[in-house]
Amino acid sequence: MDFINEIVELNENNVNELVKKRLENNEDPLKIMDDVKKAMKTIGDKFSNKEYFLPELIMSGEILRQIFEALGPKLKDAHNSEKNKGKVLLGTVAGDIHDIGKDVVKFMLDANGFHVLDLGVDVPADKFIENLKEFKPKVLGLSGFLTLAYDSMKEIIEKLKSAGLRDSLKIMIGGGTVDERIVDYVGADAYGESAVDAVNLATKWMEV
Amino acid sequence: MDTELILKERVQRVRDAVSLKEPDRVPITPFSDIFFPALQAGMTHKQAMYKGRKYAKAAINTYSRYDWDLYPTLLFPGMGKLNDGLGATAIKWPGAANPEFCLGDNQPYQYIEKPWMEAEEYDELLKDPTGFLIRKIIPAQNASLKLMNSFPQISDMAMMFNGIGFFFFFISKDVKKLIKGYKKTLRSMIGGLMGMQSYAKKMKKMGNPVAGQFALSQAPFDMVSDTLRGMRGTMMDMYRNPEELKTICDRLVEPCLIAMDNSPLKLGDPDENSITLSFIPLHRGADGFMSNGQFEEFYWPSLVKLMEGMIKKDIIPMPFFEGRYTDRLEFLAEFAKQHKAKAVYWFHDTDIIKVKEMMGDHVCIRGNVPASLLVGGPPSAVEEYVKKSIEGCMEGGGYLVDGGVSGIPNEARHENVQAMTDAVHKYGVYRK
Repeated sequence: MDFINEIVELNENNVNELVKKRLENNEDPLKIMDDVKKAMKTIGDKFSNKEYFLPELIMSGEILRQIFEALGPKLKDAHNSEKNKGKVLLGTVAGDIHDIGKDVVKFMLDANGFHVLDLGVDVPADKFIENLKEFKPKVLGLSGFLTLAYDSMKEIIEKLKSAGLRDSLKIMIGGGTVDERIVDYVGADAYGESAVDAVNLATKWMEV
Repeated sequence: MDTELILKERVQRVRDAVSLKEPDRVPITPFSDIFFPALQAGMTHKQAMYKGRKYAKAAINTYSRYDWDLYPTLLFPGMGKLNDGLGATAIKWPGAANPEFCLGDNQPYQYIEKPWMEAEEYDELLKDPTGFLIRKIIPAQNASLKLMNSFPQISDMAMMFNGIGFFFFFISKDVKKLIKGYKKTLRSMIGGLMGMQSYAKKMKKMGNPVAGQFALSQAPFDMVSDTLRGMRGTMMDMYRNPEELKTICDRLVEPCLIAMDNSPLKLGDPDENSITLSFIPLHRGADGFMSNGQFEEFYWPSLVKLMEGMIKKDIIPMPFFEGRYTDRLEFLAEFAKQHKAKAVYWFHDTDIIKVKEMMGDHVCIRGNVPASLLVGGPPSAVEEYVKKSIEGCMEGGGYLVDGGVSGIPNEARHENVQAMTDAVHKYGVYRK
């Protein structure tokens, strides 16, 4: 099986062997990275098609981590700067420390070529605003698992309005108990049921 | 009206529904998230964690406003003091003495998920699961219980001479100090515990049966994921250590069942004026977390064993299918068919009317008024949702009305909860 397929099939040991061999043969690490990107795109597609689930995303993330380790840290930066489908700012809102849903969204946006800045969990409104000003994304993704997240999301969006930042931005929300009804309640633009929805929403909004 | 009669009527209504008989009306049996009664009474989350007696009063006042058929058990009032005493490190909560684990006064507690053991430790865990949990996991998750890492083999007491080692453990100064501290913590919790007891008593006096929902359990896969390996670790184990993962899930079943026999909470042995539905909140089995193949291989078998063991003990397992389980319905239907009227399936985001069509002849369904409606309303939309659910699920009994997540969410508004309650009385009548 070739290198790309070995990654897609999550054959961890074979991937590591092949990376080692390719480096020993003095191959350009950037070429290896091209293959890795193709593999990650395929893994993302398989996730969208419900062929792959969380165990596969987590394993592929683990394989990716090992490849980066072998190639050296510089390549990770090169990998990030090449993202050209647009910027998305992401975070779990204040009061809530759940991260699984947000991390899956991040993985999928990443695999689909978006430049993602993830602010982590329990992110206060002001931190979102600060980073919006600096990072200048077109899309903001707010995640929350607890019902308390509804009001945290509402607060962020109200603060964005007062700061005059709301109109230039598309906002998607998602997570645990969030559903379509919460879009109006908090003043967002759309609700995403899954990470695939997040990719579709971001893709649509970036094209406008 | 005679409150004792009301009490009996209500319990019977729930029993009928669970046994798939039509009662006089569809029962409404809400569970409630811990902080709902506290917030309704103007208490902060922190106060709810530390003021057990006050919390119990708030619960009586809040819940008794509603005409329900089964009322929530009080879960964990005063847990803040216990956590402080244990030096809990696997949870963050408002008011924690250790700032590292302290959340804001108005935040609910939340668990910290991380690998508490490495994959390399599977061998050790499998050789003696109880010993491993006592000596490795308990000290890791409770800073005050560090000494448990040298806890002697208790079964040695059955052997010649070896009971002496056990004796020496307890005469050590540090262990004595530990026990003293623990006693002090327990004393500080007495108010809360008394509050809990008087809650159940007072509620019953008012004709309000309290659910024996303290019969908590978990799917073995979730125990491994939540408290041993973390979700990341567990899911990597599905690739790297699949046999070890399956073995430990299987081996956790029996200890869980034994714990139910020995629990001071008397699981599965409710008095005639209550009904115990054993709450099993499921975490990683939902759609999207894993494929059906993985569910069948890793998640479902040990959960089936656990539920079958409970049924043998006359405990009614009530798995809470949080998230969506549409892809898993075939598995659920098969279990229901094999154990007719022996379980309650509580759903969050699965279409319960579809579930009713598929397996309504075999299992009682519970749910699923969305949290977004109970918080955001309006009451008319709540009424509409309950009406539709009742119409789709009431036939032949076997339906309990409750919220979708945690029953009544913390931030639910009174008018929406009232609308949910009123709708059941308005649309749920089978016969006068």
